[in-house]
Amino acid sequence: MRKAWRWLVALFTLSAGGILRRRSEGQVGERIVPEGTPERSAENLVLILLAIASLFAIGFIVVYAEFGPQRLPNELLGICLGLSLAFVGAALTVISKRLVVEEELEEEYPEDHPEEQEKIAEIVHESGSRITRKRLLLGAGAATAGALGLAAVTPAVSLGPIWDTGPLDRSPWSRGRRLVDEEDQPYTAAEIEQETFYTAFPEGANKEDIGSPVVVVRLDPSSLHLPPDRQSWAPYGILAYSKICTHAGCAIALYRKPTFPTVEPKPALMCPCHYSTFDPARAAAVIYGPAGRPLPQLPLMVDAAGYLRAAGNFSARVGPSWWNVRSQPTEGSA
Amino acid sequence: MSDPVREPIRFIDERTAAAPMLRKTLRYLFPDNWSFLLGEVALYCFIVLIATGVYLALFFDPSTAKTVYHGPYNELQGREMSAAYKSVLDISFSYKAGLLLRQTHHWAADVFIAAMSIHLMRVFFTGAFRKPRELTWMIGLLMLFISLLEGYLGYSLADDLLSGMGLAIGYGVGLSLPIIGGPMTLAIFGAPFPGKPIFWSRMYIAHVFLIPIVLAILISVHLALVALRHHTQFRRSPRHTNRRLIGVPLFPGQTPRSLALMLFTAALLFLLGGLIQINPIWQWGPFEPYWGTNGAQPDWYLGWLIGALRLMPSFDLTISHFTLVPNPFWGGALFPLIVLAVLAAFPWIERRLTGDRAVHNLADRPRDAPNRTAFGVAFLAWVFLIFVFGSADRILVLWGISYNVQLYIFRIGIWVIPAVLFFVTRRWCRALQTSDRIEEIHEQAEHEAEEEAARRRAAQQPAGLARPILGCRGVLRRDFRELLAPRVGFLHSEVGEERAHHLQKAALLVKIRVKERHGVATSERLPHSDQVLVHADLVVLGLDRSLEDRQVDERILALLDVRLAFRLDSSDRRAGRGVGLGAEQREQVLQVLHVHPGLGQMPLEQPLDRVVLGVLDVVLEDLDHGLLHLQRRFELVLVQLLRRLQSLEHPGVLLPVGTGALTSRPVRAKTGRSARLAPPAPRPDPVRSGAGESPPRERSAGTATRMPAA
Repeated sequence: MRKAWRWLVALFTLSAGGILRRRSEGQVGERIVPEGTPERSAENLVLILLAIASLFAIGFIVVYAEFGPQRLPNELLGICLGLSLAFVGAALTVISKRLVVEEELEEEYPEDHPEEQEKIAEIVHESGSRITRKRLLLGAGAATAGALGLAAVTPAVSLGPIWDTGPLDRSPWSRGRRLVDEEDQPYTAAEIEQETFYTAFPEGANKEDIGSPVVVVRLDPSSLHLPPDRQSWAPYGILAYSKICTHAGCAIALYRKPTFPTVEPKPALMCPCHYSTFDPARAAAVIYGPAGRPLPQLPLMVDAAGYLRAAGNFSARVGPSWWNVRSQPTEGSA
Repeated sequence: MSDPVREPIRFIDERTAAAPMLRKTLRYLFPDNWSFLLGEVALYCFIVLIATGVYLALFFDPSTAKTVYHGPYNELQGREMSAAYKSVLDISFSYKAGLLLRQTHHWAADVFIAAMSIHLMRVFFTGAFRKPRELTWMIGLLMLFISLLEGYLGYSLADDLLSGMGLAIGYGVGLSLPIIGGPMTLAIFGAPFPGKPIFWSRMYIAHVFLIPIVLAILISVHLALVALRHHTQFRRSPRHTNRRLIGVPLFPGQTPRSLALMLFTAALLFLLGGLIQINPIWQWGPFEPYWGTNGAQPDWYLGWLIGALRLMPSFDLTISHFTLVPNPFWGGALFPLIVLAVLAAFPWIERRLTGDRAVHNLADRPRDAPNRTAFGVAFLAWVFLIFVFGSADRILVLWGISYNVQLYIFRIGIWVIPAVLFFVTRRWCRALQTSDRIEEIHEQAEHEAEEEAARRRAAQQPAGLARPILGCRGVLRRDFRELLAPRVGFLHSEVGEERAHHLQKAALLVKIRVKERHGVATSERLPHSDQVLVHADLVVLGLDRSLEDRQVDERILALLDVRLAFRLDSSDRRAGRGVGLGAEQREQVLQVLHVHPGLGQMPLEQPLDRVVLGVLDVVLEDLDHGLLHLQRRFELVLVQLLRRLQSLEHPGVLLPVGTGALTSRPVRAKTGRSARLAPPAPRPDPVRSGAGESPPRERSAGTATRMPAA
């Protein structure tokens, strides 16, 4: 009996102590984040917004499953996914405006640490006390690092013909090569008309090679002002120039044809990228725009059957300028 | 004891000992300002880019192998094209939701770079790049430029007609680099344009792996640098200082905000991707080097480069047959490099020019640094105008302005308009600054006048001796009174009341000029009776006794004609019409020197007069020295000037009265000097008679004729 009573007292003391301790914890322990008033209406709003967001997410899946790829309305997919995300965003906005405790805290900006800086310097300095020729060793280390670094990037040389800029000179044109269209049909001189332009390629060559495409235009022979050495390059007033702009390598895809030649500017070849404009009557000299040199001209001749043939290679290198672009081109390789 | 919060925290801390760091992170403070969220928008765009990009990579085939299209898009049925282009068509038409992801990816790239650019402007115009955040700035710039390349590679991969034209231009710009251009570009492309097939896998690996990794690393470093030094903040209250940051903690305050922003950004991008078509590559068709199309426009962020390429006049720099600098280099390479270099060097350039090496945790408002803001606006305008010219062909189509005409307008405009904007912006900033200061001083003066009145009532002092003549700060006024009170009698007995009043006016004039030199408008008030507050300028003009508003107004308007630098108190009802002069007069302060000969006509009978002139001389000279530093920050000018004034403190140089009380702070010294020479005018009569000789009058006949008869 006595034992039981002791037990009871002990139990009571223990539990009371526990309760007391818990209570004091609740009262004494200072809050870090201040207490705010609960807002059930905001919580409800968040729940509603999240529910709508889920509905849209499910809607996305339904749309995806329901429609075939061809009939799939991209707009509907975008709306479902976008609005689902937007409603979650709205829920978070409600949380941040109405459910999160508003705090504005202060804090010192971080300071510099001069002593630490000094300590680090000391560590570095003092660690080298056994080394007498620091500069020499550092120099040797740097040289080795440089050599190793060079070795490491050396394989990159295999990327392409770094030392050999020969490919830039390559042109598929040579004397006698026929001009063909995109379907490999050869052009005859007779079918080249004025006031339009044609794209031609060397027969049998790779059309994607930027040395290949030329624009062919026909002008009134009396309107031509070619240099003396090119007088024979334009039979019947038919001229051919590289189709690749000498400025940045776009295709010369525009031909300006005056509808009223007396009042409108002369015919011109134009690049749609930066509007470099070339005068076909004057050996494609730049009349306008950023290009720094004329289009290379391809000398033409007409064979006995009336087909247009190249009478040689281009007058200059094809394509955008680079440091060696103006030197004499090597004759018709490749 | 299984608390769902405590348990994982304990788990982590027991394994990493990172609890202190974690706690610090949770309580990292974010200053509350919308403009600080721009960088976050960019970050969230990057996340969307990664997410959608991963999806696209699952379907994209980076190969130039020729195939023939047989798919749902009829217009290209049976066309020969590269496998890359075909796979993009398939993503758009054959895979469910592929088009949404592709368009969202594209939109995200555009918004990503837009957000970065606006973030850059925000950081620039608020001076947030200054010490200690220069590295953050540089890394941000680097990310912006790398992102441009990343975007360019991204839309080049699709191998449609427009992307092919873009690649051709890239090839042209690459070749145009002086000396190294040819070999380097050949190495990258593997062969002359359009390059070897392997070039496609090089672009691809750069776009989906190398550059994203680099960007991710740079973003991490950028964020780490921001966090280590904390955000800058605006001075929204006196509590926001250079040493103390005020903000909302990451958790709980900032977390839902940032997450909401992230979701809204993603929502916007997906809505754009779903609803607004972008880069419909099926309309452009496949690319061949010999095809081109008119009206080609790149993505917006490359528009400035297209504009620069188009604007350049036609020339290659050559020596005989060597082409040193081919044309595309200027617009396509040099121009962006200049922009990058100027921006990257700007923190150091500004340090050099302003001599300001201090740590800045407070962000400027744009008006606080008129020169920086003006430069920024001009620079931005320069780039923006070139950007606009990139769309000159569209402008031609839209408004029919001839391309030629536009070309010449822009070639001049890109230089003239930024130059004009520079000066306009600077003036505007200064006007804003001045109006701020006037506001501030008015408030202060009101406050002090009240204080003073209260004090006087409490002390029951006679009003005559304790007038707050000079100094709008309480301290100064007290100082002045201590200094002046014992000497008033002396001055009066020595020079007579009339002359004393004269001297008072001269000293006031000097003081007003000194203040105006710093853009500080004085609101000196001389209470001649209990009710009326009179502006110091009116005293100088001899109008402090005029009781009719009309006279004052006429006189002030006359002064506007002679451009005398002076400012009016907007709270003075009589001067109300003159308010709003703005800061433009501030620059003309040198005209103050005209005052000097005017004062020189004062009879030099008494040694005290010479002292007045001496002081004027020195002060004006100092002002001129101060002018050399006008470009610097306001505080620096003030320090310079005060230092000079202080150096005059050698006894016996100028001052007939003792200098005992003038040794304390420089500000006091300045006031003290003026004060000593400026006893209060005890009676109205001398003022009226003295008005005829007041200095400004001699500067302007017009003023004199409009003077009301005293």
